[in-house]
Amino acid sequence: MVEKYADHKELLNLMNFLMPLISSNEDLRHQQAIIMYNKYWIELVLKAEEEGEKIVYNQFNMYAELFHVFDLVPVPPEIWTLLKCGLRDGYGMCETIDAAHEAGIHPELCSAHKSAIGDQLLGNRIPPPDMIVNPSFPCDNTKIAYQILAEITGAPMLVMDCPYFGPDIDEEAAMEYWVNRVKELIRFLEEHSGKKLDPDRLKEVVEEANRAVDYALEYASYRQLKPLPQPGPGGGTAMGGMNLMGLPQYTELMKGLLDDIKDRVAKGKTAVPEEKLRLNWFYLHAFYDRDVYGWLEREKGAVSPISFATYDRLEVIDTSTTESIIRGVARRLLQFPMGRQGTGSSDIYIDDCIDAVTRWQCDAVILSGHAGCKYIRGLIGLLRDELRKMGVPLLVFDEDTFDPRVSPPEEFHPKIEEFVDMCLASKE
Amino acid sequence: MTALEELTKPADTLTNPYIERWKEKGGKVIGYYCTYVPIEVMHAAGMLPYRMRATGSTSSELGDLYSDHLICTFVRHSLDQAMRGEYKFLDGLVAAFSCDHIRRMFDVWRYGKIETAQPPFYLRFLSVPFTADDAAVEWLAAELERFKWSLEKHFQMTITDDDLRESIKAYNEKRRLLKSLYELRKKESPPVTGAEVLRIVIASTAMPVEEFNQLMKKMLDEVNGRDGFSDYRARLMLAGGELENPAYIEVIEELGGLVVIDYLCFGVRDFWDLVDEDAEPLVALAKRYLYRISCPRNMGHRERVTFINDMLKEFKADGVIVERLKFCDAWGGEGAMLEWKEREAGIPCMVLEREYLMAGLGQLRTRAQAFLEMIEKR
Repeated sequence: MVEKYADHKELLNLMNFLMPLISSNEDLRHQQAIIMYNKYWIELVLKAEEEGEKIVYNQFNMYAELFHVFDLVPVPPEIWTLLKCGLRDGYGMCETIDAAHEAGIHPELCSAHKSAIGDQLLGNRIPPPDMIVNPSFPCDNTKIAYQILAEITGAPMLVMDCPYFGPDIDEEAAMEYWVNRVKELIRFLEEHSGKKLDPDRLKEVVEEANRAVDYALEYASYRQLKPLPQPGPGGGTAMGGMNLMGLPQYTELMKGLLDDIKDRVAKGKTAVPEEKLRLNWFYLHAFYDRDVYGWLEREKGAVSPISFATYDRLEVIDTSTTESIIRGVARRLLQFPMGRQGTGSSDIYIDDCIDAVTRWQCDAVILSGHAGCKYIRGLIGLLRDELRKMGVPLLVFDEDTFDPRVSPPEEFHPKIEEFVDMCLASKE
Repeated sequence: MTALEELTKPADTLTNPYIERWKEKGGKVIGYYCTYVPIEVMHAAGMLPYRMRATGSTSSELGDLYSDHLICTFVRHSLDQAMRGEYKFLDGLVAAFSCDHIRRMFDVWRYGKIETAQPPFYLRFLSVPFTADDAAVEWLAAELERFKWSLEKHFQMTITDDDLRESIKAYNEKRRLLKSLYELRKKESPPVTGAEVLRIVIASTAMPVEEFNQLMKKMLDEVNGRDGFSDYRARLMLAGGELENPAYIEVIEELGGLVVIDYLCFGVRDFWDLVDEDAEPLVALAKRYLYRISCPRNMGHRERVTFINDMLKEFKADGVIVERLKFCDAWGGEGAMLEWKEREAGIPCMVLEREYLMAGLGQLRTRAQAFLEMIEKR
């Protein structure tokens, strides 16, 4: 048996080492927020486990406000496990993925879920849950993986059934149904946290989250500027929204992102000296290949102003009454990047992708096709047709977002390079 | 031709003489994916509900234009059949949110990529909940009301409560008849093979239910007098996802593994639970389709295991084979959990991955043979 949470303690050491280096370099400062967020969260979870605070496994497509209202510590098991991509040269999740395979879990299941299951099977990798919450979106992986997690851990699980949002839906009725599911979640959290909903605390947490959303939306508008003022793929509420949203520390992180980009704009700084191409990465790119954006910036002058994970469609919640807050939270829960596109028909993803191309003024779309995400794989043909109508080139390639053995960067980097060169040539 | 022979034929082709006669009389046929679509509503509208299969497909070349190599091969072949115009006998298509593969395939139809026989082609996607509780029943009942209304609007007709009650009765009769057939499989020498039963269940989804019910009654009389199969090595349950190819079961049965019970969607999941004939029809349908024995697209793993273990006892099955189409996450996870539980209970259980076409025949034979030997050694 390994030492409890050894990987995450190693990650903390690594972050403590990196922090001073990054904060002292103005051009790297935008990466500070993601490191600070991860560091803060790991510390929070380890402390919670040590002090016996209640832990909720919330599927990663859920914003965290309601959990913080009940003083629960949200631990989306996929997020906890994928942090290990930062270890062992990107191979950090392989051990737990293999453990799931050895137990008979099918290889095509999303590797984040395989690894989360492996964490449970091997033990000492993740604190145990007191309860589990799983909405029925975005995909088949989550629906079955959470049934497995509930079986292994024995923790009580609430499944929040979400209607299918498509052209045939009665949206008003669907929203009412979903709001009632959120009210059911509140009852579930009351039961398993042993606390009654405190309307004042609810308002306080949601107002805090509103401030973070305000910062995130303003930040996103700065990322639309041409030339792009800040390097890298940027950030958004998906970065930590599922575990920290509603806490002042999270708001500070969003503010940090915004302050950095504003500062760069004020100083006339840009992501690259000469911007030649703007890319829309409209799916999750390999977590073990984080320098891909830097490589394209340095080598090709290609910037990445928007991505699937940073595409936020949030609104500020009306906090005038408890009912308006709950309704707002319900609406917001349907907007998590990926969750949103997984709630219904292909139109949602396709329209969002086109909207991202348009508003962020992109020249091309890259879709890193994660092997587990069949709900995306099944719409690629339709997306290709719609982008073709607009004259926007699309690159699709196979990868496993969390397992470099399946798709090493050496395999897909040449495809990206060839595509980017082709786009650059056609622009000239 | 005996009724049994008659009932085993529709599984071999996409369409059949029953559908052709129905169409000749001006009848309409609506295709549907999968057992989560309450077909009674279509039947009450005077339509022939037809469960979608890809029978006869030999390639997924055209389907792959709008699908992907990580999508299950049933869906890819079915889409291919659609793009080749093999479903032109359909007047409409209804799908439930069975899985990610089906929901995206449905969008290909909706985006107009499939040439249909005569526009306007009826298309409807049903939002069927993944959990079963009062709120879900209320939602689905309202969804079925909208479904009914859309059929009425599209086909310019009216569906009354009496129509729905008649349809519920007709399909309940089908379900009772199939259950009677399954009762016979509990015998020491069952009079039908698993492959024959699969064919019969397929027929029940590909012909007018009234004609099916008549033939079933005749067939039950026939097989009651038939010598049963007693030369088997083991009695098996076959569980898993979409399986429409009787040859798959024939391979197992040729080796001596008689399939006496199943947990398939062309099997018990299609017909085991009845609809309450006395309740308000749409609510009764909503309850039945949500509280029925479930596919792992739904929550309820423990209830599924309980049902499977009860069936294993009732049908005196010696072990379970779980078949799953590659890339099916629902059955991937469920198969693993089932294997864990059955092993713990000392029940032989094996998960087999397969493709839509019978490509891995050698592997199937080898593994089924080894499984049977393992059972015999116990």
